[in-house]
Amino acid sequence: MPDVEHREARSASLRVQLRVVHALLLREINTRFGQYRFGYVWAVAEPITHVVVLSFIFGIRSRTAAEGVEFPIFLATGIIPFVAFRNMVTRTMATVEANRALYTYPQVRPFDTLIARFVLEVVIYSLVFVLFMVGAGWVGFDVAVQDPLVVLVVFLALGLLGLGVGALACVLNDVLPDVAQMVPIILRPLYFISGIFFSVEVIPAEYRVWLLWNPVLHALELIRGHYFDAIEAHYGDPLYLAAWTFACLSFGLLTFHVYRNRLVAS
Amino acid sequence: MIALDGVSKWYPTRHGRQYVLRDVTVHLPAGRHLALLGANGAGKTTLLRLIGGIDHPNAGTVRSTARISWPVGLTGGFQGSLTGHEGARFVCRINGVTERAAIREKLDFVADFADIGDYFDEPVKTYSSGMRARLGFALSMAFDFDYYLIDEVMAVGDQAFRGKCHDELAARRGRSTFIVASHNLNIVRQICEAGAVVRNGNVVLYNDIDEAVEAYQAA
Repeated sequence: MPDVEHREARSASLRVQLRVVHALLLREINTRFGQYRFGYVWAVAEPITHVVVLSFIFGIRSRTAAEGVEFPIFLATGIIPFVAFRNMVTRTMATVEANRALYTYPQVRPFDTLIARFVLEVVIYSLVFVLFMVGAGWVGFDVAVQDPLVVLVVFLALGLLGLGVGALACVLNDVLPDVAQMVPIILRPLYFISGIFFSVEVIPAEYRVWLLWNPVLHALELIRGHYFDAIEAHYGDPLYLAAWTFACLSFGLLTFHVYRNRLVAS
Repeated sequence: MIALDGVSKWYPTRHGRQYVLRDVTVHLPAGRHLALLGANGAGKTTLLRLIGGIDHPNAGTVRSTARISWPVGLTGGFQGSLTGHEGARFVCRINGVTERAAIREKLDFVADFADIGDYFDEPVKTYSSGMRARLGFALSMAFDFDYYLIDEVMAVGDQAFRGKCHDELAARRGRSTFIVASHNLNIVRQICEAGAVVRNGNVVLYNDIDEAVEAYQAA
């Protein structure tokens, strides 16, 4: 196996890697939010806009999603994780493209840039979720969460699923850029079939079996089932989601690892 | 010392493997400032990238225990949307300079050496290629490396900057080794003692720079 040994770059020292990821994180925050202060606003405003618009569209017909669950909050528990997932895929997919200049430095490896993006996305959307609920609670909605720990775990599993898909798409972007252009196109209809504005229970059984193939829908069902006291996640299967996450993550990261040298070659 | 043993580097093309380097074995001794000479596309930059550890050979090994700089080139390792200041700060951090005071010291040095004025706080995408090269070179000089890999940087600098580079390199001659890829034979003759000609996937080492230049011009 051909390899290069450099004391600094190849020592596989965890300290160097942590240092690099930390520097990359600060840099990501800088490029994402530093230039226009709108960056912070937009991260919060995007899901809020979805919630408000969809509340108006659907709100008239179905006041409550379930006994004691207000529709805007029901929507938010679907939209924020979904937007987080979608952004995770598109942001990690663009990792190599966006960081190409930094691969000039031997310490900076593609995997580090991937991790930095993942961490930032998780932090941003966890904060957005919390901020949204605090804000909604403040204006009078009932935002009581039944089981925050499980909600967080499912949220993270969804993020890891996004990371796996994104890592794979990132390699695809380099190897077959035409095919990679399909990824955002595939993500768009996912918005309508992931159970953002409906609970899969209300879907007739003959269609439901098809929708239940979608792991994102399972994640949203599970999040709601554990967020709201009044909702039981009958159809959200934690094992199904875990299997998808595990498969995508290992396949995505493995592909990324195999292609890592090709990714840095300009 | 930097040792390349049986190093091959190719790129896949429609017509099969396009070799840039083919089974190259050279040992670059420390302390001998080395010029890399070769036509455009001969593989000088690829060689520097392999030595710098940012690209990897398809076969063979590149070995060194020395501290080697990143290849300081014309494109510089900067993201266009960040300012030179922010880019430099990033490089400080990944090189283990994390204390506020230490970072400031490095940044002051870089700003002074690059001498690009207010542009230091402007996005790098607004820079001219000369300014970009100056910033990259200044940044590499802010750190102590055993080897500096310099790719055509000085050739784009103006008279004043070239003079400054010369002084800086002269001051470091005893401590560090320079590996310089350049088409400017005057610069190369002034800085380097040895030379390597990169041609047809081969690297031939000459212990004397004049011999290397002669061999380069002979073909």
